[in-house]
Amino acid sequence: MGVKSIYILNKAGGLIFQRDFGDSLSKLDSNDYLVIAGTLHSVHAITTRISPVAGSSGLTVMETPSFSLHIFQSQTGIKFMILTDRQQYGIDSIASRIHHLYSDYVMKNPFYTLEMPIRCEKFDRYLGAYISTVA
Amino acid sequence: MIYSFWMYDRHCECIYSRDWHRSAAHEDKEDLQKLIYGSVFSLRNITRKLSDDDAFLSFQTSKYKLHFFESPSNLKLVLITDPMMSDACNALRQIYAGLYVEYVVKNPLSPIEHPRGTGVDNDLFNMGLDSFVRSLQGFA
Amino acid sequence: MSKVRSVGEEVWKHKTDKINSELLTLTYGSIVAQLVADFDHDYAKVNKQLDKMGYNIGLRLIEELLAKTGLPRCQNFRDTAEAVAKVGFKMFMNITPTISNWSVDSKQFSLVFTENPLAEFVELPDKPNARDLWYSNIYAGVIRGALEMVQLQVEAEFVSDAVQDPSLPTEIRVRLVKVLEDEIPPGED
Repeated sequence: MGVKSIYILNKAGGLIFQRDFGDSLSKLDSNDYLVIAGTLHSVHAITTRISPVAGSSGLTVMETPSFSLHIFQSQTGIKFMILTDRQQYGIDSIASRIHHLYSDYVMKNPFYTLEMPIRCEKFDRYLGAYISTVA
Repeated sequence: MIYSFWMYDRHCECIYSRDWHRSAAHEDKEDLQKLIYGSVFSLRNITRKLSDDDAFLSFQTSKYKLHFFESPSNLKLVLITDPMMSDACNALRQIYAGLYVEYVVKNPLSPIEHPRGTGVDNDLFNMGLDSFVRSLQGFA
Repeated sequence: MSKVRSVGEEVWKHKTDKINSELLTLTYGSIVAQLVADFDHDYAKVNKQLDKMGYNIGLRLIEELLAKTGLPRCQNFRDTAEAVAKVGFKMFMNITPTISNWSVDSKQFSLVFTENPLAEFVELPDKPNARDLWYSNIYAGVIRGALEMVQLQVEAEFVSDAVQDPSLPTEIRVRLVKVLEDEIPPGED
């Protein structure tokens, strides 16, 4: 499975959505996920400051021997983190599609409160369907 | 373009750093080395939580790429380059094995532990590192 | 900035679902009418409520605009005005208000509408203070909410409305209060 997990962080770095797809990398409990999200939010900010050249973005990709972690940030401050296996290509269009699904099934749900954990069944369903089509 | 190289020992101290093409003026090198260490340490821990890997290989932003290597003795080597550079893990491994181990570890007169403030101060290592990095593809 | 205009047109043509405009006009009209009845013809309160509703819409709608257009962060307030008029209004309402009356410090501008789908068939009631009602005040709220999500605190108010006086244009004045510096996401300076 190309995409292993998706995390969505709100503006303050709080985890508002987490889902594993297929066989996930390792079994973690919900607290672990919160810590990972918070840490990545801080590291993302710090990485703009250690740049040798001015005007750097935050961390966009992290590579390890077994997976790649991509971070995509919307201008509104929410972050989408996508864990994939190393051979996955076309991440930009995957991130764009996830952003679209978010702007449709989360933003347009009037009963969803902004910045809060996402519990939108339609978002889950369409996201799952889309991810399973990604090679 | 290779910007800089940093080395941290297992006590989280920065024991060596070297710049080549740095263009943005970082006023405080102390702060910078701490921020680099913090990022690297956190990302390494996240990698261990998420998978069986011991450490990440590299991360990048829009303007730079940071390559990372950790020896079994918890010595951490960091290389900062432009984002287009391919993985420099092997280069870092060579710096560790071919330069640090050779000139520092095996040198009976050169200290292994570097308490706060004193870094690696070894001419052979300095020169070896400089010429090795300059010889890497994508240096300038 | 013809590039911005073409982005707006492209998105309108190919990437948005369309609905019957009468349905939108009638639905909005019934909302305003109901609010007027609920607030017992206190038009100031109706204006405020429409602004609030628009604000909540704007907070959410911005994400759709960003997702569908991929527009980068605006470098200055003039760019923002272009994005609001030529992309925002174009893709959601298929209208393109003109930008005019820039203040000297480039912190205020007017959006002038030659057409307004929301108010197509509207005539204000004969009540004495009916002219206090800004019928399309939801626009002001949407602008305010959407821009706040990209760290721009603005005030948006109707200056004149063709519904009230057909001899005047429909004009919204937008004023930049401040840039919310500490909320800008990292790396987007």
